Amino acid sequence: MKKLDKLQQLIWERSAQLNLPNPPDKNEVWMRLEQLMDISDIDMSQDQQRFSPPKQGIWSALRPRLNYAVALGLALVIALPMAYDSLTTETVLTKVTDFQTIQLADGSTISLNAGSRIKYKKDFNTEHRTLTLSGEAYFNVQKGTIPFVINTDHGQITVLGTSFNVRARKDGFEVGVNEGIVKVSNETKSVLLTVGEMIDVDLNANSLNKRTVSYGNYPDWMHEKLVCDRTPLSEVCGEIERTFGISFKFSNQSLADITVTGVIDTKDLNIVLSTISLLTQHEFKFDGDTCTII
Amino acid sequence: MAEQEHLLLQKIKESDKIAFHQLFSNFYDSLFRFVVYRVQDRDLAEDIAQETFLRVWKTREAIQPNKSFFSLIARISTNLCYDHFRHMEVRHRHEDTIPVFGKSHFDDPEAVTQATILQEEIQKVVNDKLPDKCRNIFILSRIEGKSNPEIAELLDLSVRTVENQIYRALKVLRKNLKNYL
Repeated sequence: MKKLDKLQQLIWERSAQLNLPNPPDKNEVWMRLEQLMDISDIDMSQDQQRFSPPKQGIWSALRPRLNYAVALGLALVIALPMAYDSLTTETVLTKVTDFQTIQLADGSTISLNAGSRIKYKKDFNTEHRTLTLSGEAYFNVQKGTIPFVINTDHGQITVLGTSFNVRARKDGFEVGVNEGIVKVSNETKSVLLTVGEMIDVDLNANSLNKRTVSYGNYPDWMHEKLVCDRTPLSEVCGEIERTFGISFKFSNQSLADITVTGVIDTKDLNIVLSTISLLTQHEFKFDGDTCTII
Repeated sequence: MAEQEHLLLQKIKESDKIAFHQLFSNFYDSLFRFVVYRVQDRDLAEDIAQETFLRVWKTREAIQPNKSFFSLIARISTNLCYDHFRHMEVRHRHEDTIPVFGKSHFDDPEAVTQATILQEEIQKVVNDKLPDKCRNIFILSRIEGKSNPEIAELLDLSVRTVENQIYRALKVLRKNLKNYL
């Protein structure tokens, strides 16, 4: 810098000391600017359309149709994610009395109990092994580097390769392990389970209770059995309803809370019903669809 | 910085709004101060700064990515300021009053001291007497507090040119402010 005289020095200093108002909030300015940009983009595309056709009248003739086009566009915006979802998602569903075993792209198998649903994206096993379960299923997961993740309404199960059962129904959540290690987590807690261990989730307390599997042949439904260990009668009946496609009625609502302990053979409905009668010490009436416990 | 600016401008040319937002974030505050220094009115400066960016977006296809972005917005905003002053002049002529330019709107009149009078006089000379290029450099140096090499990069000039322009500004200022010493 060339040498400055005294006044220049003063000007140099004073010129920097000016108090200017602070700039407005940049985010607010950007929001307004962005709107103006969008408006100008629309105007510009309209100008192009207005001047490109040979006759100007075409534009006004097109105008009412433009409304339809906008409406159609909006409808597409709403419908596309749904369509996209249904195109990219695979769903396997078992109705009541159904039982289905499926094999996934990674070689894992899933046995779906009655009244259950599995959903997974079609790119399963490329970047993820994630699926959603509602109901009950027995998993035999092939070992792999990508974690196998099962999302349920009650929590998430993460494994690398094992065999285990998940029961995620409205009336309860249960995970039991036959082989390997399984991680179960919900919003509050995370639990590691190893062979022979299982957890129950008390939906009211929202706690994960770890205990040991108290019988062989776990899970029961895979061996056509229903193992009850102080299980509420309503839950037992729920399983039988799904397995046999019948419905239960209780002559007295307090019956729903009776707990049942024992093993019910589920090969034959008549045997099931008489076993329940025996275990609960209550009689029943069965008309082919509905079983009423008296 | 210059390389990044070049890339962003290329993207804006291709209608990339995210790149535009980036450049807006980098330059908005400086441009606002640049404009408010000239018009001395906060609301008006806000309008002109906004309109400047909007014009860049509207004419994005004509952007030359290798040219300095600050020079571009300084030029657009300066033109908008001129438009505004012309408009004001016409209005004043109709109102049959003398335009009062250079009176600061945001200074408390009670607090006017010798120092602030000098500052206002400097501002007036910078706005009225300096050529555009010289004024841009002077404001970047004194208001934005940028170093000469920073200004050189920002405006795509040599450091030598920046030094010369600042010296030139001081010469013009001294000539016009002789009475204040």
